[in-house]
Amino acid sequence: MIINIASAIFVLLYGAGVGMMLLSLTKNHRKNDESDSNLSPLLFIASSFFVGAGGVTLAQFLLSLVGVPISASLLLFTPIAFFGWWINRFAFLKKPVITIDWKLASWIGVVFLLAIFFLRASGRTIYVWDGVAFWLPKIYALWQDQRVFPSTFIEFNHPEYPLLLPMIGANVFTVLGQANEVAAKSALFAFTIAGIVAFTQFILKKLPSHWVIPFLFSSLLIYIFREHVAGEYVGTADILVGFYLMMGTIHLLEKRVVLAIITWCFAPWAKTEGMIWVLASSGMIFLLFKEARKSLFIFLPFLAFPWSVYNRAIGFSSQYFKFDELYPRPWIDYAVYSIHAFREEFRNLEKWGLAFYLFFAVTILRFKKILFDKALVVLFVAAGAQVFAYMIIFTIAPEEQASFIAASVSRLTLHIAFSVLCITAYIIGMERKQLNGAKAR
Amino acid sequence: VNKLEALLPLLGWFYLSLSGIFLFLFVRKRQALESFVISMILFAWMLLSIAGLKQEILLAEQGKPRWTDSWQSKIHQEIGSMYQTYFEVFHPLVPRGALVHLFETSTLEFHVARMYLYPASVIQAGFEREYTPVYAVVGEADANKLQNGEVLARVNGKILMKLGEK
Repeated sequence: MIINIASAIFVLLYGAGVGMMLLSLTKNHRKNDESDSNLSPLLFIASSFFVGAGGVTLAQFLLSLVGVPISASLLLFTPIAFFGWWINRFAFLKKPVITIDWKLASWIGVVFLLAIFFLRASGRTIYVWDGVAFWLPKIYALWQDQRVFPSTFIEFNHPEYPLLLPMIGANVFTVLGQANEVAAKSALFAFTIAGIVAFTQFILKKLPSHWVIPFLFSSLLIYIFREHVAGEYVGTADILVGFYLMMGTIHLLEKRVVLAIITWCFAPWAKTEGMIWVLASSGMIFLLFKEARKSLFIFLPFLAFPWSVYNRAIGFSSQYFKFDELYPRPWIDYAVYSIHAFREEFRNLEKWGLAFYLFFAVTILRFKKILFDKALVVLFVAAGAQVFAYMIIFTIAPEEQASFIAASVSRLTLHIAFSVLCITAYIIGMERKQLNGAKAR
Repeated sequence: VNKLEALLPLLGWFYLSLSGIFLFLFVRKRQALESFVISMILFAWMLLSIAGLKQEILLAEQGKPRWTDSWQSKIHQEIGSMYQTYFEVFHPLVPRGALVHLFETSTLEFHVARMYLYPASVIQAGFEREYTPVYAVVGEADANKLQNGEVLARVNGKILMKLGEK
């Protein structure tokens, strides 16, 4: 149990430390004011972790291509992680990270939920089909080879899937010096901690106080979410895509456009599907945020480069886009079925509670206001593009459609679910912001 | 008309509730009604979530005996003796790149063996195949079906054999 907790904390601290250094390179990570775009200490740690975890694993992959073993690159980033914490130590000492007020009750509840999620997650090894078929085997392969060879993953299903999760697992194996599958699984809980902390911070900031507790706990108790952070699906990468998209969404809604772009760019490193969101949101940011165009030109190619190297090194493309294998189908019927799949998913109370009902309700209620908010327009287009792309995949993929949908629609919906929840909270909070503004005037 | 009728079941309470919300757009005191709608959905959602919380606590309690178990024991609870068989015993005996044939195994065992025997390659095979593998994993009962094999290891009812190339 101690090794499991230590693995999660190690990954969290290490990733956050490196992330702090990377975020120091951008202008708008922390300011000495109380503006909306200022990162609170906890949000700073959480967002640094997402950037750091993605950055380290991506760099480890690139370094491994030139012959640097994973163990050596992990050692190489260790002083950077320490330095990241050291230069930011005053940011956490200036004021308490959590204050003693009504919000403390929410935090106590969140910590309780995190504890029971962790106990369940670390109670079993990785056992779901995807975990055993390719995520866990890739951890073993990386750990033993200490490098990425083009032939490394050809043995396993989905050799084209990216390496955020396997690289973290391989790092844990390397540090422990043994194939401790449960520790590798526990280490992935660092994403859950960072994700839930960021989500809680955002909800506490945006929602009117009387709605915080019902919204927060209903969101965290969503069945599909629980299964991915505590249950069967821990050790698969879909929730990681969801967390990256959510973190970027929080940044964009709090007017940190550059950080949103950087964070989203790591989503495809968790799973290729994140690419759709990155492309759609980048296009919309280019159109609507003139001030962010320069950053877009800098960061997108910078982060797309290793991604492109990975695809070339591995030499595989997604199995779902084999246009040469398309065969005659009743396309309209297939497309309609795909649309209904998501409709059924959104209204599935057992899986999602009333998350999507609330989202659609507030979207309709505040439709005009949404149209005039640039960040929301970007997010709606990105989420819409994501769902639309999945509908296309469900329609054209060579797999048998109904089985394919049944096996994957919940996991794909999870990619956007927490971004949607943040959007919902933001839209609900819009009214309060306007009222506060009117009172101030 | 038939197609329209077929659409009716789709227009269930989900769409009716959405159209109900649309109606609010046209009434006065909209802000109060918006708050009412959001409050009601959140209240209902929270009631649904209480069941989720109970379930999560129950699952955590059920897992209590496993909290202090060793990680090897947790793997054993999931896949039995496969970790010991394939990773601890067979893996060191199979060189990189060797092709190991698994005879008459389940799909789960094939995936687990493929993972634990890496960097060797693993394929599933049946005894009717014509070629002779170099390395093979067979059950105790089937060991005599492979001729001229050298037994490299025998553990948990599985035998790792090295056979002459054809």
